[in-house]
Amino acid sequence: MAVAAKDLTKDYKFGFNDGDEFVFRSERGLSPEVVADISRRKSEPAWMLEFRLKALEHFRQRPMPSWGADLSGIDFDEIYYYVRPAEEQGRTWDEVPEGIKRTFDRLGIPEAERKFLAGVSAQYESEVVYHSIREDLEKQGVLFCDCDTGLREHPEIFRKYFGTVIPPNDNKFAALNSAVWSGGSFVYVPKGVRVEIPLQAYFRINTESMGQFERTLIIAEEGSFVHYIEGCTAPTYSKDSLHSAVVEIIAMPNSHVRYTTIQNWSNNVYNLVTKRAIAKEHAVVEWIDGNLGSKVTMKYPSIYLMGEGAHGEVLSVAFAGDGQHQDAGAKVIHVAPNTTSTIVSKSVSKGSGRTSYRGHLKVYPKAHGVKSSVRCDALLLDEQARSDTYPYMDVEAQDVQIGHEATVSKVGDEQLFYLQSRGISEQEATAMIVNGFIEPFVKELPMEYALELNRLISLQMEGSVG
Amino acid sequence: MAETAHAYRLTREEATAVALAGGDPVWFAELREAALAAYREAPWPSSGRDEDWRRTPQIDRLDPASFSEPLPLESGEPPSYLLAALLGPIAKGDVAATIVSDETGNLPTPGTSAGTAGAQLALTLAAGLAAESDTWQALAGNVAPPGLRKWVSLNTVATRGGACVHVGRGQQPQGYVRLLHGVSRGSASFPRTLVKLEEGARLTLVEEWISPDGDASLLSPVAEVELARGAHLTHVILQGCGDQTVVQSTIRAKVGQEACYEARWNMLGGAWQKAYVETFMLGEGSSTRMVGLCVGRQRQHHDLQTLQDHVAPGATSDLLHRVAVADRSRSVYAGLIRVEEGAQKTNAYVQNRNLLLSPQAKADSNPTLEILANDVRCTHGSTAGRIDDNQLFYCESRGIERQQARRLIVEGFFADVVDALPEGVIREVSRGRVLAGLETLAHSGALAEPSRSA
Repeated sequence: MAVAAKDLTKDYKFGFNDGDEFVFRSERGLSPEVVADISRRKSEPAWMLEFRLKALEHFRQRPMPSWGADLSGIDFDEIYYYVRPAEEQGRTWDEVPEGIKRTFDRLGIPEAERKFLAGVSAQYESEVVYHSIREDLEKQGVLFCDCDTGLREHPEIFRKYFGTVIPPNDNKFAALNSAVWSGGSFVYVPKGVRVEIPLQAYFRINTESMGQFERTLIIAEEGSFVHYIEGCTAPTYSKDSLHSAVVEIIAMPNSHVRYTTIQNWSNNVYNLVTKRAIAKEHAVVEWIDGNLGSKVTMKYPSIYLMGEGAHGEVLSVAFAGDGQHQDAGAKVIHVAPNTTSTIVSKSVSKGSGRTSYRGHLKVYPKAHGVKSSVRCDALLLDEQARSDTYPYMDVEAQDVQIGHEATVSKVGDEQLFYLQSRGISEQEATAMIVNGFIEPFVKELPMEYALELNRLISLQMEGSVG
Repeated sequence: MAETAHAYRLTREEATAVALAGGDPVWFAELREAALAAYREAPWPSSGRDEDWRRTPQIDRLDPASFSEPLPLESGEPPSYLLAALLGPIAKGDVAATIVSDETGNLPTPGTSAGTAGAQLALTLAAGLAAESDTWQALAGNVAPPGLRKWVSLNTVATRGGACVHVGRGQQPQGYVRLLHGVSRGSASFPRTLVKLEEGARLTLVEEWISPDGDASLLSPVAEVELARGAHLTHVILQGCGDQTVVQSTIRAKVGQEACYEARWNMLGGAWQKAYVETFMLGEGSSTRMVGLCVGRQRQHHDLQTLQDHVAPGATSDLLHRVAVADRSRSVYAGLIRVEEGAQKTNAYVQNRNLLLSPQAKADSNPTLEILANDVRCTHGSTAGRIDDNQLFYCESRGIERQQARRLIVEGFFADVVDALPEGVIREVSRGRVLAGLETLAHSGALAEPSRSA
């Protein structure tokens, strides 16, 4: 660990910029014309255009949220809502344009592929440009493609589920996404199929002031299993960028869906994401959510436990450095009886960084036998750092066991002293303690992500002591 | 949420018509003016708009103007419900002084005796403001400023009585000061309590909030407390209002260096209540310890909002609120620990435990943290659950009947809160009231086995 930290430079690792290279870019700003234009260029069916225009209306009517993080820096008129980087979607690695390939090389995607990852669907700007699925997955009937392709090639499944978990009028940013969405992943796992290797997608932003509005839809049929991984990095720019994704998951009875994100947007990105899953009878949904970068993140992965015996888990880590505000949390809504949930949130604030846990736990009157535990731990590294905890608990059933605990503290002097007395420098010791603090999260990640996260934390910790 | 049209439009004439018996000191009249302006400026609270009121929509339908104007006293004696409480079991304790108020203002206290020391300790609001104008001018409207909240403004404009409690430097009087704040059927009362403990002083203050069952009434007390260096106050609040009374209360305490504020509350009565208990750790090494309980029955609704604001470094605060909700009652708890910049070495804790005794009862819990310093230890815990089957099984295996076992478990649930009350008559009276409440719960079947089909 400590050795790895020394190898890293202080520069933002992914803060390079390959220069813009795109085929089509929409006008700045948002209007019905821009929305219609996006829909026409994608040759979408009429119902999708209608859906988009309705969503745009919702977006315009909704006020900006008055709670949570400061969003006053967003100028909706300064954003490009659609950028298409290359004409055709690359089928093999060789067909991917050279500049884009260079960027991916630095992110290590080809290596990931060599490690027998199930499929790589890398989103560069608004459209998926490279995509592959292992043949055996295709044979099993698993669909893993970008959302535009999903709409085009599998309209019957797509239309049945699209927008059903998060309707366009859910909130202002879900409405915005619904109006201008582009790209993202579409995953369909047929009944009884277990996808043993994680499905992966990389998301990137590369055009200045360009919003990225990907849309992900995951459907796990009865008794199936899938682990979807999304990693995000973005180059550093001087102007604020907006990222507003929508992720919908439908977990049918007895299915198991795990969704892992490591988000490391550059420090000028507004990351405003709506993520929601529905879990039917005895289904299991897990959100593993790491938030490291961005200027402002507002993200509350939620699980609606609709079927008896369903289980939800949210495990999240937030790291806020100088000037960053991570307003993250989790929502679990117990609608059906005998449903269970666990929320574990770990946050670290450094410099003038601010982390907020904002949660909502609701138990409906008929949901008897519910068990839920919520645990939030915060670590404060500097005097200017700030941490808030706002967990809402709303219990309308009697036969329940609900527990919530939160702690806020600094790095223990005794722990530091112990490590330093063994000849470890203060900085290394602090990094070790922070890594130990987030260990319950890290151990749930696939190996390469765990390594990457540890390196990112060490990188963030550099210069934090003395 | 529909905008409320009413909201008690006080005219200047109405407001200036309110004065303490014997008249307001000039500065207090000015404070009322400022409060009136603040009251007019602020909109009526709304469950749709205000986070504080989100879970208590009763506020949207409440109109203080619907309560009748207080009638002047006829007999000069407290009304019978107040008299009964006044001469009740708590009078048998070691009472140093007694102050009584209702919607007409302060009332005489027949049948109670107070030594000369006691008479100096606690005065009626009017007598206190007249006797020690400078002391109270520095405190009234300072701890709870007029514009703080609609209800604080209204209390400041409309108060007719209350108490001034002042303990001098190093004084540690025997016995406790007793305050009874009542409201009669159909009326609204706004008692104001001012408490100042000088350096090293020590006191136990027992407030009883009461009203008769039956017609709707409104009781809206405000207490302002200031503790100088090393002072120690135990502040007991026994809310035993009638079943149709709306209670809107604010308790605010500023705690000085190495001073200690201990609050104890029993929220048992009322149709619905919104209570604020807010403490400010202003001096290094100050501490607060707050322990309270709430029992909800039928359609009662109790909403408690607490604040532990750590301004000075090295202070500790600790809060425990235990709630049992039966029938269709509802409890709301929101507790904020705020640690201001520079308040290092803070140690703060909040614990809220909810026991759900009926399938239709509801408990909301929202403990929150806002931490702006880093060298702190701040923790909160919150639980909600029904009676533990294992505990029931244990009792039954020892031959205790199920209903009796359930009662014992609820009693045990509240034991640490009751035991935190001052020893003697207050603790015993309080224990008796909680137990009596449980007895009627058992009687009404609320402690019987809940059905799962609900």
